Amino acid sequence: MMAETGDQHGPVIGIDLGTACSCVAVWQNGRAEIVTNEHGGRATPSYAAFTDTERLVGDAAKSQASRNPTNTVFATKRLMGRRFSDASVQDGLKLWPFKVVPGRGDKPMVAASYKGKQKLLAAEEVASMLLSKMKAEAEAYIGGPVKNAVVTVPASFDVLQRRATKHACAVAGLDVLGVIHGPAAAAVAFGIHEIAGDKNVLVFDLGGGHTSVSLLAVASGKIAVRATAGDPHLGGEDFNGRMVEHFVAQFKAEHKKDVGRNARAILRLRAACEQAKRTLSSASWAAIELERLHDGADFYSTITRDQFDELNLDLFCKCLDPIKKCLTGAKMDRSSVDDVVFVGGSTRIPRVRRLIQDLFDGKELRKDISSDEAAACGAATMASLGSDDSLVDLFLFDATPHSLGVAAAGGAMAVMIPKNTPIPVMARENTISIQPNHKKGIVISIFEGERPQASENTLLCEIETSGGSQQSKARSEALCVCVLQHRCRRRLDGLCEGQGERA
Amino acid sequence: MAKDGGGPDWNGLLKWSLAHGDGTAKPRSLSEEDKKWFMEAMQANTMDVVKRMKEITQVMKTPDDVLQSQGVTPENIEDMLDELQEHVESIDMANDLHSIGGLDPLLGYLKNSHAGIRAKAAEVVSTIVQNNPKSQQLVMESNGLEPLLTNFSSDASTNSRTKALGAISSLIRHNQPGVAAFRLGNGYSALRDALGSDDARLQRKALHLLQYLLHDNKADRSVATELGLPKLMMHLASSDDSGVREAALGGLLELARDNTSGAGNVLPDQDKLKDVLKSRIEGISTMDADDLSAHREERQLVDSLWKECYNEPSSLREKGLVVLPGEDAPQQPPPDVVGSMFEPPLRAWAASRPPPKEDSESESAKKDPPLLLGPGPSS
Repeated sequence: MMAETGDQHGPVIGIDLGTACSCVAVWQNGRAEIVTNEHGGRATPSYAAFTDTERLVGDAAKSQASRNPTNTVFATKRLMGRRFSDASVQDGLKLWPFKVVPGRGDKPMVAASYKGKQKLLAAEEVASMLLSKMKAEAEAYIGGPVKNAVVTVPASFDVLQRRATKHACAVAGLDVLGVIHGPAAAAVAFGIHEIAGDKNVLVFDLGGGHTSVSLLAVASGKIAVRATAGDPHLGGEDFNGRMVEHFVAQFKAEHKKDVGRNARAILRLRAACEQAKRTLSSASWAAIELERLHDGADFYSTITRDQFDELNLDLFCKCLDPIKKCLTGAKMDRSSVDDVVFVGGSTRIPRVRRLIQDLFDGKELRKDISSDEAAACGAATMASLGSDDSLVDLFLFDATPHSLGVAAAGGAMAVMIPKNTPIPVMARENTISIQPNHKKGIVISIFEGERPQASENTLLCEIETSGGSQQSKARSEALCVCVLQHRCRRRLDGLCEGQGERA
Repeated sequence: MAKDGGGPDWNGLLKWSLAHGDGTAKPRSLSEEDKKWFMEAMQANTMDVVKRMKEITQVMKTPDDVLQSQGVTPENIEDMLDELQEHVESIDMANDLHSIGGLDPLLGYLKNSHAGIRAKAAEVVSTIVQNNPKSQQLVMESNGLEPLLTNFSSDASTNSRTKALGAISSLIRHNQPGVAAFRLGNGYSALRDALGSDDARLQRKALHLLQYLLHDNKADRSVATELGLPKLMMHLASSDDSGVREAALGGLLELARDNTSGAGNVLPDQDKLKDVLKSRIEGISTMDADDLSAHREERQLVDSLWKECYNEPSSLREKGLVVLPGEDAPQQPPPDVVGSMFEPPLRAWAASRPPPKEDSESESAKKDPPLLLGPGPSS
């Protein structure tokens, strides 16, 4: 996506809206600076909560989660742009303590009690609360109003999810100049776009709640996204969970008591495991000691790095799957990758790094640029394009994360634009037969996804046309191109009225 | 927190706190509404955590006599510290405590005149610094180890000594400056006294710390030996408390694995050790299935220690009591090219030793068996 240029009024911030934590950066003094909140923190938990008296966001929301579980909402990124009946939403329902119900159009709505009344909130509305807080923190940091932002999203986000993210920003009072891949933004943060010559860079992002991989082609100061892949439900919190399970089993064997049923104890154990996990990145073992963990019994145990690796080896290997998919998607082999960029706290796990190094035949990887805040810094860097002449002219090309197509006769998915096609898309000429639904025109439904049956993919929009069949075919081609270039239904409607017009 | 009837004089407390908070604000009369707010603030659990921590910091900075004169009891302070401990379980909140000015007054509570407050403060410190290098450094810079060592070595309250030891353990683990300060602060003598106490909890904690010190700091082995700690550990290996036994056996295993000096120098009384191990083997042999499961650690430690000292498997292995049917063999790590650079310590090391092949000839028995992916064959 090309960052907009033109007159900019006021500063532009970069926001990394993470599943577990969110981060905001601003371009200031010739560089991207992470905004610190009122107590010096740099990452804000992606939590919102509702009580009898107030709404809470960030640290305040997360800290009371154990006492107010049904009204504390998190992981809204897994709801945005989804349908209630989607498999990923249904899976989440089993884990989330807050209630999600189907709303109009099968839209998942969060049910929460606020000031004694039951409220239904869309995921975008919850996300906008978090975005409002980050906007306020940025304004306090800068000392002036902020209206414009560049926002990062996971590589796996589709069109509807991006649209929902933009909507959340609008509700929070932010104009979105661009929605870009977190991994690409992270690469920009470390000056990948300043590389001389042509290079292929793989960005590996392993955060708290997701894994994503992007393959970027850098040439003459321009970055193109060649391919993306990811697992939106795999990250550091899963590794933590394995450790918690391990210790729960150990406690049960030693004390013959099931600590798993003690919610307070599990929270304490999970927090202790999180810190032990960090120690294991630099030491070969860690100790955990918790007084009166359950039924008055103390808990003491140690865990070695090897044990931690063994507990999580299958998950570590699963993190590599997106890398292979990414290479396949770009029709590239491993030897063509020049650099690997690590993003996200969980990339500090030594075993994860070693596995990736082995995957690239022992090639020396960039190990000095792991950062939790890279994506926000990169977004701020890109946001600065229109407001700071000192930066080089940077164009960042995007690629379609999923295939786009229409329903052919019989309901099959006829792919017009395959996954990982660079945007903007040059005009595509494909003649397909479309089953007519009306005598006076044809309704063209545009789907996004990889399933062979169109109806199993995500419906993006429907275009109703009129006129002869010859004109209809021409328009369907033009419309597919328009979807990618403008992403605007109104514009599509306007173009539909043209006679045989093409983009 | 606040008790019903005859609660603290919140008006006076808030007035004093505000007056001394920054030295510039004039005291104002506390209206009923303000009083209600403050009481709610002291009890509320839906407050912004940082805001709440700032309020707790304000109370901790208030002198003891002022709190007392306003009717705040030591139990109120302990309840407040309980809440603070819950907040600092999050590593970000733990590190923020310093930046909002709450760490120094917390460390000041380690010298409080009430034993319960000293103990609770130590427990909060332990939570803050456990596996947290940043806060470990902050506590060291604030000279927090000194009051902890004082409490550990000479506090009249056993509970306060135990909690101080817990905080010391969390503070100096993976913290070389902390270990050095512990040594210079005569920490080993205090450990010896703790091992000689009659409190199983204190003994257990002391043994856990000792295991760490003996493994990761080889120079400390001679210090431990000079102070007679090996004998104490041998004695505790027969303790009635299973946790104490396990921890003592773990410490002895550390010493037994010391290849830099003769075994005779490290474990002076071989006959007694053999008697202790035989006694434990007998004890394990009489356990029922539930007890065997609960004492898996002990079974493995006894067998490992026996092998280490006498170069042969213990009779537990013959009886099939080291690894029970249906139980996984001691966990073996996957092949690891840099594994030799990170040797597994402590219990995991004992548990992860692969069993020797009993049917192999004596010559080949000395070779290390190959590492296997996943758990070894269950016997």
